[in-house]
Amino acid sequence: MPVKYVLKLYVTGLTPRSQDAVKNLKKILNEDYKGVYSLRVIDVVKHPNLAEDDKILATPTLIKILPPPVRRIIGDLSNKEKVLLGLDLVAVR
Amino acid sequence: MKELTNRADLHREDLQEALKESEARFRSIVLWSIDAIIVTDAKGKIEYMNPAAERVFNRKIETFIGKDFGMPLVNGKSTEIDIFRPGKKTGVGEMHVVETEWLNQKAHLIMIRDITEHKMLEMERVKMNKKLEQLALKDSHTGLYNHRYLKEAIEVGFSQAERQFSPFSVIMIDIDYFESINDAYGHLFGDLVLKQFAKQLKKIVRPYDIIIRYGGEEFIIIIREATRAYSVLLAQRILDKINLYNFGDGKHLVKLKLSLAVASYPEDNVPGGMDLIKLADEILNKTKEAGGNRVCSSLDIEKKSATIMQASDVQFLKEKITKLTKRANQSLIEAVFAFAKTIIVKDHYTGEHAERTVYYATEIAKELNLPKEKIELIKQATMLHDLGKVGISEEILHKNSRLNREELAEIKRHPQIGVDIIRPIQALHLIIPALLYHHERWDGKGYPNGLKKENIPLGARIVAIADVYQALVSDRPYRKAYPKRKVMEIIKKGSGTQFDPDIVKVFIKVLQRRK
Repeated sequence: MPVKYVLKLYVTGLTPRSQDAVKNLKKILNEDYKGVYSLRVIDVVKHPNLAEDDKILATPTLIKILPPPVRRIIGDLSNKEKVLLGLDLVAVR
Repeated sequence: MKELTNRADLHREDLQEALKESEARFRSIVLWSIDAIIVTDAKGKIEYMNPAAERVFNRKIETFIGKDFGMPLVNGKSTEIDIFRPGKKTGVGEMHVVETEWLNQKAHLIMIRDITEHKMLEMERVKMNKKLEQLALKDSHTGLYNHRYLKEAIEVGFSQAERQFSPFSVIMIDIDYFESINDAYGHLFGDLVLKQFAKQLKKIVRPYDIIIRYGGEEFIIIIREATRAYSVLLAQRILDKINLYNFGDGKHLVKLKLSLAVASYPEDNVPGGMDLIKLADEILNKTKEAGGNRVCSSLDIEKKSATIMQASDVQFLKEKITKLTKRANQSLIEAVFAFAKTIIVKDHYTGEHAERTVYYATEIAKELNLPKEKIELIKQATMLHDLGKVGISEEILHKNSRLNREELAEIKRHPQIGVDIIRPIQALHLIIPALLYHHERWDGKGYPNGLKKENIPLGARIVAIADVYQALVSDRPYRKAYPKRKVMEIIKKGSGTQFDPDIVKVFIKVLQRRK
């Protein structure tokens, strides 16, 4: 299945908030978007320039690049409904 | 009608004025707030940021207006986020979101409070609490777990063993005659030995075995997945290694003897973890009764079913044990005195010398009006004061020329050796100070510790004079005996430097009376 969903998740090092966000997001993606998503996790401490380019103020910030429109959400990504709503997505299945 | 319209206009003007005032007040609050305040449109695009946001995010406001902040997702009242600030350490923020209207459009009012310092303090507190918890469970002196940890560790380990059908053992260790080390060399030295012992134990056992300091010189090792056979071998290895090790500092070295008791699940068929400890304690007592310095498990001990004894039985047993102990101590003391006589064989001078020295020391003690028991102790101490010479080579003891530096150092070890010999005998502990310090000098220039004046135990001060007097009036391998008059001069000269001046006076009286 071709990749239909392209996402970028900005986190800060290994803070508990970052780890929770990665865990929560992967759970959502693997439940509903398995095989059709590409996720890039970017650490702002290691890549401050990328964060600057994307005007990141705080993390965890999740950006949905594809499918359009580009959407971004900020928070711990623990509430699946709010995450999907914020990204303008509905579950594939 | 016109009047009514005018009144309505006035009312509207008042309202507008009030609104303006309220907006000004709100603006001032937002402007001076220490929290970052961001207003975004419904899609998350930034419409407004207050000056505090500039400080919190360490960036210029202008570069962010019209950019995407994102939809804030808040669960409940607030959500913690990481604050990214280029060129500075990242921080922690507490994000609050309110849905509101901004320029007649739906908007989000986002407030971010910088709680970095608060979080750091909280982390410090958590760390500190963990440390305190650990400290409460650890013995500050040896760094081993303390008895508070025992119950938790033993029950968890035991129930795990039961669940997994795996073996589980404990080794209870007691250092034999440890009190005598404290008596002979002081508690500081004893503490040092305990610390070194704990370190050695850690080296011998597996890193995941739990060592607990159960009491003063009692230790428990909890060994998971260990059968009785394995644990007995481990206990024997501990005993062998500790027996060989020299404990102490540069000044004194001691060897330790241990009693070790092994109790195991399932071999010992006990219902719980603390029962294993109870059994180990019983086995340890029997190990000590058998003479100590050995490893025992219930295989070595005739296990009797526990029965509740009558009070009279307990009293009878207590009396019997006291009698037996007295008898045992007496036998030991006799053995030591017999052993002391062997010095005669080793050093012709010392045996006879000891007996005469005993006479003078006892007379001084009587003259000082010391109680009967004290006189008896001084007598015993004087009898055994040169016991340690059995550990000095005969070549040095019989040398007929002056001793060189190494030989002197060797001979200075004899008080220490003497103490090491009598240390295991409880009944002789009270004479240890006199034995150990009989070569100290009133001016602090003696050995082994350089004690001064009254810091030198009275018994040692008495033995010192009697010992020197008897040495000077005897023939030595390297010189003839001094005449008694000359000896008296030497003793008087040493009053206040080598000897306690008061005891010198008493000694002179004793000698005069003898004449």
